[in-house]
Amino acid sequence: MQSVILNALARLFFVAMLIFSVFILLRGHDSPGGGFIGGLAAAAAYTVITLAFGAAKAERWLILHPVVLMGVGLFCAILSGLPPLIGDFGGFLYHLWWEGQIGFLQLKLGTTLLFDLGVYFVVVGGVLSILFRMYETGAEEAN
Amino acid sequence: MSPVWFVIIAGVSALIAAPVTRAAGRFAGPLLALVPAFLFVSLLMQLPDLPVGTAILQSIEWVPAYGVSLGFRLDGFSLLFSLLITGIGTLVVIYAGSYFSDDAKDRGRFLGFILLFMTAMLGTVLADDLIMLFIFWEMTSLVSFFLIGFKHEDAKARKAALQSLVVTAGGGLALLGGIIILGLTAGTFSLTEITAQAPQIATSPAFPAIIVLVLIGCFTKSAQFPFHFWLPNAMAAPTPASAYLHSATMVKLGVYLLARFDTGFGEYLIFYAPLMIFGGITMLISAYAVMRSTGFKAVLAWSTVCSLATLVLLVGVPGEAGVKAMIGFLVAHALYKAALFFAAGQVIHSTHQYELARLGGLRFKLPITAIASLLAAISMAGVPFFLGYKAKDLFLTAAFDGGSWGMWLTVVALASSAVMTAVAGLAALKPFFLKPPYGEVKLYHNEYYGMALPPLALGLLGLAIGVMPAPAWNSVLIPAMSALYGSTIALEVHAAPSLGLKFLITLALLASGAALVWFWNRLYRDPDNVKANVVFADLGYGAVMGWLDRAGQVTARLLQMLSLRTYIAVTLGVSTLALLLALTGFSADMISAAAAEPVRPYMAVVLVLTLIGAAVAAFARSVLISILGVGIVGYTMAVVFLLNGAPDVAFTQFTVETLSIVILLAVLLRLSLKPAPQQSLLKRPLALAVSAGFGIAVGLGVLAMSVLPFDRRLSDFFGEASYLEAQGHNVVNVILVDFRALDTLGEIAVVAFATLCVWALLRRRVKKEG
Repeated sequence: MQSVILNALARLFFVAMLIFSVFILLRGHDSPGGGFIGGLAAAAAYTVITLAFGAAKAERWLILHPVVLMGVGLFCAILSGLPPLIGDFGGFLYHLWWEGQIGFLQLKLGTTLLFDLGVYFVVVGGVLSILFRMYETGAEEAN
Repeated sequence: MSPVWFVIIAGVSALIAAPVTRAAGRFAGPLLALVPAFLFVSLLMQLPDLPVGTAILQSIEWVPAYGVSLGFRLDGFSLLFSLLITGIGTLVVIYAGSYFSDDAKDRGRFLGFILLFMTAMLGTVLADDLIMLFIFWEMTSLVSFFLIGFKHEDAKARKAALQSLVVTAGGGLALLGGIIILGLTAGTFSLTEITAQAPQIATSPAFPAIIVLVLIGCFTKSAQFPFHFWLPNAMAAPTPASAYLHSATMVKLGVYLLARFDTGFGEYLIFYAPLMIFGGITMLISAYAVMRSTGFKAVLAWSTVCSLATLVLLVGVPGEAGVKAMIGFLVAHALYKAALFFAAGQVIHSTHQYELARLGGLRFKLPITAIASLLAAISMAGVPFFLGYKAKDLFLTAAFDGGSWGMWLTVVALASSAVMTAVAGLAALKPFFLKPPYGEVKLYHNEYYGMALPPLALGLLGLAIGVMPAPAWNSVLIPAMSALYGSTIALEVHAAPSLGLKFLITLALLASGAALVWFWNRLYRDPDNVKANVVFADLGYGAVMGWLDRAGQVTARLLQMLSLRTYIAVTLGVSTLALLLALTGFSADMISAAAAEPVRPYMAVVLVLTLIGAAVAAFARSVLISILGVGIVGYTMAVVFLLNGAPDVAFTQFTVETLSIVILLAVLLRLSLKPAPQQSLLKRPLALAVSAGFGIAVGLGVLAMSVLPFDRRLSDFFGEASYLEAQGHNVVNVILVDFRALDTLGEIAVVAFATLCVWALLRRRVKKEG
């Protein structure tokens, strides 16, 4: 099932959707968005590649194996909860914030971002591990 | 150094073991051995701070709400155990470095596990808080599982690993139950305080339950009858692991905990009688099993079961004599048995020969190992001027002082001692000094120093303590006895044997052991007695696991009808009934409330689209079209969310809908499932009734919800606190990542594990040949 239009636009869609997903992830704390939705959007971006060029290519572009990505996500989420324990600021997952300015960039960073990144990775890895499996298996059985 | 640091340093070394091994290559063993060696020396340096009868206590708050803390206790007894763990640990790490010299990858993995195991062991014996003790206790079971199954391509190793996990972790659950009941009864999880309150606890009605559960936990761990079968099977582990876990340290944890409880509860019949009875039975069974075994490691394993049983029995012996004998035997056994395992590993590694019957004449080929083995065996046999002699002497004293249990104690003591002497002879003399029965044994490689020096060190230590007993006994062993006994124990140890009845018995035991070795070839050729396997092997275990399997099959047959439609119909039908039941009081209000709501025209347009999607899904002839219909419903629902001020939910709905359609289509298009042409819903009355009923019930439910007064307390709280306390304006996200972050963490963990299972189930089927 090759579609010229899809193949031509897939890379463009992929880049746009991936950037958009990161945007959603980052803005999540103050406006609609966050790790879960961002992760779904990123998974959708890879889905476009899978539909256009097949699972093997999408898997290459993901760099990490999707199952590994889930592990990385869980690791990030757990890691984000540790800093308060070290400094004795509060319990596990009590999020800390840092506000400041780098050059002209006004920044507000919290450990929540790492947590949300963890959610993002778990969602991307989860959706894609199943999607890739389906397409691999499908390709095999169709032959 | 406070106790917690021992655990932390050991833990860090476990984490860095694999990369360090990769970098250090063949020097990895000695290099990593510096960590346990350092801990060993640091522990020795604690000696001056620990006069007899004192303990270093340390407590770090952990879960104050449940009275659980990271409580550590370093006293004479835990110091003795820690010294054994780190001392033998040092040798094991060196030994393993040589043992895995052909495979760098295995070496790193193995050393990591060994050091992790050492961490868990230190945590267990240094714990004062019972919950913490339990966690480290289970950690040792887990690491043991990985080490027994280390050669994971081998089905037998996997089976043995699973068996040991089922037995020891299952027993661990019983222990947890006992600990929790004990903690609730005593109002504390601190071992120190529980020991102090022992008389009050013993009067509580829960006391028998506590004791039985703790005993089960300890018996499984220390391989006591009827759980003795797992330990010989655990010999599938690489030999360094057998020496360390399944002989010198881990299997002694049961004994350790029993001894700890003995300090407070030793005088109660319900506690000490099972120890003497089950310990004695295990001793007799294993003594006989040793004589039936032919494998080099199997002989050592059964003799270990016998030694553990001896220790359990000695914990049960009331009074000073039992404590003295227990500590003496514990140390002597740890030293000589680890050395014998080390020697066995060297022999098997260099000859590829597992059967004792085929080994012989290796004394010039493996000279250092032969000497080490000889030293260890002499100590095991209880020859004067070796540590083992003193241990046997104390054992006989305890047996003769046994009061009303004296007869029983004496019988099992003599029987097992004779057999142990024979094992010593078998394991040490036969492979090295007797003539090989089937011709010269082929040697694949010469003696490795890394594998020969550790047993030599242990053998020499046994001799040194025997010849010059004062330092070790006065500074380590006697304080350990005193810590257990609760008051100072006086014991004078001399190198020379004291002549008398016990000396004569010792000589008689040596003679009988020699006789057993002499006749061993004839004894073990005794045809395999199948009936005996009920007692010796794991037939009972197999039967229980078989019943479990069958029970699983029966329930599966009853509950799994293998029809998705039936599952959905049942789920929806039950939900409909429950909803309707809950809605019984609402009817009048709902209609008026629904009528009062003004109709918004744009909503009506969206909802008409929803209806069209639903109709397509219901009446389409092809599954593909149905899926698209469901997709339309999903998208229009997202629009409804968007129009009602829930952009987050709408956003999520859009993406989820898109992805699920893509995945569903992928399944259908790629898996070539060839779905049966779908019949229209109108032709399936039951399906129609179920889906219509569910739709109506949910619709009524939504209406009912809109007339109920809305409780705003939570929304108000989150609305206000969101920015002030969590620095975020998006309340939904703030709840997810901050207020309820632990729930989210749990959810993503579940999602990850569930996905992992699906991913594994969907793996490509291995194509069968032909």
